[in-house]
Amino acid sequence: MAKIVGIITTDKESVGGGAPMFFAKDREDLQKISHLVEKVLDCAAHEVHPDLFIIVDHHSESQ
Amino acid sequence: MISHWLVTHKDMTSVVLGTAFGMATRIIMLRSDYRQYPAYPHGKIIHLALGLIAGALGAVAVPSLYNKNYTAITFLALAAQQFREVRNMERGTLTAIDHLELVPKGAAYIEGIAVVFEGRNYLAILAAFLSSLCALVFNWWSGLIAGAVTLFVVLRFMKGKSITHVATVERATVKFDGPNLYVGDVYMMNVGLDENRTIIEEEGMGFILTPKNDDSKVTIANLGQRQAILHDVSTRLGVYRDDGDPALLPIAKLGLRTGKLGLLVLPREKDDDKAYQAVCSVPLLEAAVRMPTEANRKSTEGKPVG
Repeated sequence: MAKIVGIITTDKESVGGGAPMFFAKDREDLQKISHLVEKVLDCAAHEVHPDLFIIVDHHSESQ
Repeated sequence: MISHWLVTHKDMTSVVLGTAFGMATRIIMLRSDYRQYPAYPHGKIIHLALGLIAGALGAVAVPSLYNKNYTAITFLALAAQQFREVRNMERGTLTAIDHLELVPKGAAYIEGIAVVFEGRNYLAILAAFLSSLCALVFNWWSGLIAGAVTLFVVLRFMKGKSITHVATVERATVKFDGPNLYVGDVYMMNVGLDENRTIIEEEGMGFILTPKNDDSKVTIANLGQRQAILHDVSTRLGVYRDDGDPALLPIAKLGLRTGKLGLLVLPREKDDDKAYQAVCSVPLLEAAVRMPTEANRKSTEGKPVG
């Protein structure tokens, strides 16, 4: 099963839970942080809505 | 003079002829094509040596059986054991290097290749056996003819089916609806980063594979077959991808409602015709071919369900 390994958002109120969370200043900052986290973790960034991105580890599917 | 020798040394002639044709069969079938394997000299030597052994075994079996030496058949059994080992070897090698591919072959494709390697040795034995048999029973030139005929048969036999036998291939547009990526009308994946969306829009090429009948719907839905398509296309056209860029992923997704297969590839060489040819000529994997219509017909025959 794929795993959510990170959450990036501009709206602090909309998220909560167990995964590491990053708060961005604006949508541009959101893209920047998502880009960095995607490359560092080798996990794909997916858009839930323009202010909320999740970083998903698809590798764990095959393990 | 020579023909006199050939007539008097019939056993020898049949063995040499059989071995030669067995070896020749293996050489003809040893291709190094876009699948790039075995592309290096040592890989070839292994298979040529085994081909020679296969040819010799098939050729020697005939005179020994002919002289009522029936234990020779046990050698054939031994040979089968050896060649099964070839399959394991191929599987082992290919699986070991598959992790290091940007777009892996996948287990089903590897299994297919390994089976072919084993099967071709048996074909070499068969060619050797037949030409040796004809040379011994009739005369040396009928051995030659039998060998030549088997070579042709083997060449015909070698040509497997390709994806165009089960599906029609069409180019389709790659487009985004917000973060959602579509090829034609098939949903592919969600891409978060704007940067990746731009790359996919610029570099991506989309194809839609429409199955020709109900049987082929099952075949192209097979995950192994899909991976084989992605691997082959990526091998032939290159791939715009690197480790650590998880969103730039050539991907194949099924349009569940229609049974069509959407294909997104990120080729280095953006040539429409070449890409189309590459998709069309992907081999059909034995492991993926199913005949549900056949199976249903047989099992319900004479015993109506319900």
